[in-house]
Amino acid sequence: MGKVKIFFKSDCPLCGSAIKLKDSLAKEKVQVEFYNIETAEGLAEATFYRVLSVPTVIVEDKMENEIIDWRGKVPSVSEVLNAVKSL
Amino acid sequence: METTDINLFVRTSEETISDWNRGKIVEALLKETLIDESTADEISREVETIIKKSGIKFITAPLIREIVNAKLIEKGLETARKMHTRLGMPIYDVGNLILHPNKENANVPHGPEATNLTLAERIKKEYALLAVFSQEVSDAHMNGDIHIHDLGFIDRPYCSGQSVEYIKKFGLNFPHTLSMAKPAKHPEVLLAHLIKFSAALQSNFAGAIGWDAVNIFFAPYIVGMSDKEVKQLAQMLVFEFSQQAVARGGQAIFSDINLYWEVPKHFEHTPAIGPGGEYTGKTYGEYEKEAQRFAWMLFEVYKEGDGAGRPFFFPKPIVHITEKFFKTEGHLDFLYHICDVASDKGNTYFVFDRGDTAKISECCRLSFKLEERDLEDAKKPWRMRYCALQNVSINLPRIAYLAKGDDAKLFNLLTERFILAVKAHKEKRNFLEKLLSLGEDGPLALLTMKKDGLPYLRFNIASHLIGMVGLNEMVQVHLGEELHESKRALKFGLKVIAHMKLLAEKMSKQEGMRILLEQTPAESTSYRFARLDLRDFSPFSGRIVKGNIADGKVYYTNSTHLNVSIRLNPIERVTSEGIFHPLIEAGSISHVWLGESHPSKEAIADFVVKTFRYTTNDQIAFSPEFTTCNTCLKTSRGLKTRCEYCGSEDVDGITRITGYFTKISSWNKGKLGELADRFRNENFFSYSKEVANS
Amino acid sequence: MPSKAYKLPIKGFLETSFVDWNGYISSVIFLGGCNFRCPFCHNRELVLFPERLENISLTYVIRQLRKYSSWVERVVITGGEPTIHSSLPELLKILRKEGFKIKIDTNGSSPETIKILVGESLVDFVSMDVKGPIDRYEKWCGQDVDKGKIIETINFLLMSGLDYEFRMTFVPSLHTEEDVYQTARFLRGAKRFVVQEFRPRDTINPNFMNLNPYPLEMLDRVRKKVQEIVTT
Repeated sequence: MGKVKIFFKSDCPLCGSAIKLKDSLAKEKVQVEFYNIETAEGLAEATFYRVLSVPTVIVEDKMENEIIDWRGKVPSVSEVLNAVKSL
Repeated sequence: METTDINLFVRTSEETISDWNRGKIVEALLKETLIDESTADEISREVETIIKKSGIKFITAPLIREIVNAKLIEKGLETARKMHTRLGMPIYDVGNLILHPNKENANVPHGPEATNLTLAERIKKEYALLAVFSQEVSDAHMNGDIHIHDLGFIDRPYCSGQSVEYIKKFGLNFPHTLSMAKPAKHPEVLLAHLIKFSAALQSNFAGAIGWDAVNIFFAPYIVGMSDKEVKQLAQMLVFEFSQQAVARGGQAIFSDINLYWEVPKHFEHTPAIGPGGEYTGKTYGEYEKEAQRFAWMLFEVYKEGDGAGRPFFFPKPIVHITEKFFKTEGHLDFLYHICDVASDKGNTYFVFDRGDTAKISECCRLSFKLEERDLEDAKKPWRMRYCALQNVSINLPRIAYLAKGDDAKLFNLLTERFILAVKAHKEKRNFLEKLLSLGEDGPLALLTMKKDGLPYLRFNIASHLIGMVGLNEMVQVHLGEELHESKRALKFGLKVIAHMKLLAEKMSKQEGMRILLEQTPAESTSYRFARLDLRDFSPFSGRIVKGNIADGKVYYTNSTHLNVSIRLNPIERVTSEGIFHPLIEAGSISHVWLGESHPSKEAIADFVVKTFRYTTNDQIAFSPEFTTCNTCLKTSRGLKTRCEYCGSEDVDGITRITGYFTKISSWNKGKLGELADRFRNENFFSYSKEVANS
Repeated sequence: MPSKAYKLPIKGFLETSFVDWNGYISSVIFLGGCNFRCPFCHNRELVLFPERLENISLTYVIRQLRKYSSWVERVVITGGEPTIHSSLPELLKILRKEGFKIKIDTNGSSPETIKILVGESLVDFVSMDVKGPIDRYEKWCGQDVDKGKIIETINFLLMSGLDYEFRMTFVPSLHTEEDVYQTARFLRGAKRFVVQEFRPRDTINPNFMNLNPYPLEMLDRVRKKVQEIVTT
């Protein structure tokens, strides 16, 4: 099972659906990390992953290798689940 | 006012010897401080008693002043004492200064002009700390919590970047100059104007003078010139800049020229100004070929080096690599050409402007991402004048010593220091505002001239830089690991810089001034902080500072750089260091130290292109090392104690100190410590060899 | 069964070199041991006492190569002398499978190995050190040498259609200028003949560390003349 990182910020138009995605994934028992890029923690993590736009969703394997990403958009729950479960 | 008749002569500061006059003390106290006449009178009498009792026959005015100050302290009149301070230097120090070179800034040669500069800087620095900055800010600087750069230039802004268009359009016509020159008609004249204006600007700014897109703006003058003539012009430009060692303090003008192979998008449709300051009827987009010829020839000049084959120290050529660069005809040849110079002489700076961001690098490492308003200005490039008013660096390792491993404490302290740095900016800003308000009769007349309706120095868009020193050591103290040692350490470092970046944004809004993070080119600051922390945080700091403690060659790692001594392959270095760059808006750089090795231009080009494509690194430079012989005047590669050609031991080592090339003999101790540590990407053999030998 | 290549004495690994494959970034693998004893050689330990150097595992090397594969597409195998190891082809096969272009540095003492590598297309570039004029080869190499083999490798490379270069280190007090020209004449028609500057560092014969390198102007002059000889 992989891990999901979601990057968002409080006032972006698409970020509402990123929050919904987080909740849905949590229900599916997927490990989700949620980063607000207006905090130092979130901005640092975003910089590390070269996140230039929010929302961004990244799926990683156990070794923290990036497997797939959606930058500036929010994928459907099933897309993310497929990616996470393939690992 | 009464006088006493004691038999005493006073050497005054007006080069005269006067009879003793107690009234002078009263006069000075009333003029300079806020104390009342009876207190002043009382003090003068007490001072007179002391002097009388001593039986002294000759006394200097400064000594009297100090005795008065001692009295003021006795009476608890601290404010008055501060206002009554005399600035100056001990005779011993002045003697040393005149005799020995200054190592604070390796760009300062040794000579009477340089001594003047240093003496003036000392006094202005004291003035700044006593009269411009609040006690809180001054103390923080003195004890090394923060470092306010260029205090000796307190009455000047920090650095300036501008466009040749200004001189092309308005000619040379400064306040109070004896003669004015109309816009240049010939390329050589334009060049002369450029150099003179740079020198004039250097006398009004503390740091670098940068010129944007120089080859583009020269292009209309180059039409019809033969290659030989263009080369000659390029040669004149480089030599004139690099040999201006007769300017301020005997320093070369700390100058940058920004160059492009393509005509950048934001200038493509800009109407071009040609000879005589007239529009040519074409746009800059139509001058691509001329601009390219000039850029090419400039690099031919860099490739040849000076008369002894040494690299030119100034002006620094900064080439912008953009997406458009790769779509422009001939870019590969040009890339090889500038990489050849990078490998051979090291001059080339590669700045990466990825995606659609237009950027101009200005002074030092200061670069700006062009915003809406700037792009509007790009239609009238003479309006593109940017400056930074000041640069303040924060001592990061010290915060970590104080936080003792507590995250919350560390970030709170960092916030406190940041607020203090902003306070320092506000204080300098107020001071400069006062100087500028005096207009053409004030000390910064040049910066107030209004040729295009706006003052030359565009105060409202000026930047205030906040730098950092020793992120690597901060993380080392806090986590026990250096930045390169684990992902955890690197991410923590990122969090520190992210915190600073968010603070910069927040405080910019709050204070209504542009506050930007910059990688401080802390030439002497990293040494100063390390020394102060060795004193105050031993023995712990002794395990943290880099360099050699025994001989005092200590330093902290610059800005957000990784430890310079580790065996880190250059891919890792540009990638890992580059991760920080997007957070540091006002400019960052990674250095690849080449040492003796002399890679092919194609290999360098390969690396440059991949750095552009695969990393977020903003800027890289390659730094070879040289030994130049003062006996046979030949230059060879690598740092040697003897000339390889004639065996003479009268040699100078040359390499990049922070942002520019200099002779190593002029470096401060901290930088020498770093030089000894620098890992060089030479074709050395394996790490297992090091293991085997240890 | 794991490949024999995993037993090779890898004594050094440089992830990024700007200078070992002309024109490209490359990674460099150093194999220990050599069958020559050239007095001016600056890989003293690697040649004389490879056992004193720690082995680097091929697994580690491959992991690193993969990590940087978008940056570095080329691997240089050098030494010592790589061709003295019988499992060299195994190593190259592994690197080939990983998708790398390969260059071999050799002293030319084993034409058989070079022919096998070329025959099985395991190599893209061969760089051969020619130590000096063939007639006094013992002097340059510090020991007896089968000159026939050296000549055989040279001729093979000249005819192979492969990318190759010959290199000679021009050593003060050992070679005269004429020695360089004599070598150049022998290699006439070669695609590339590089005259390298001698560096007095960590040499096999310690006396060579005290030599001053030739002045650059002289090297430039010699290089120019060598080009004329080789290309006419």
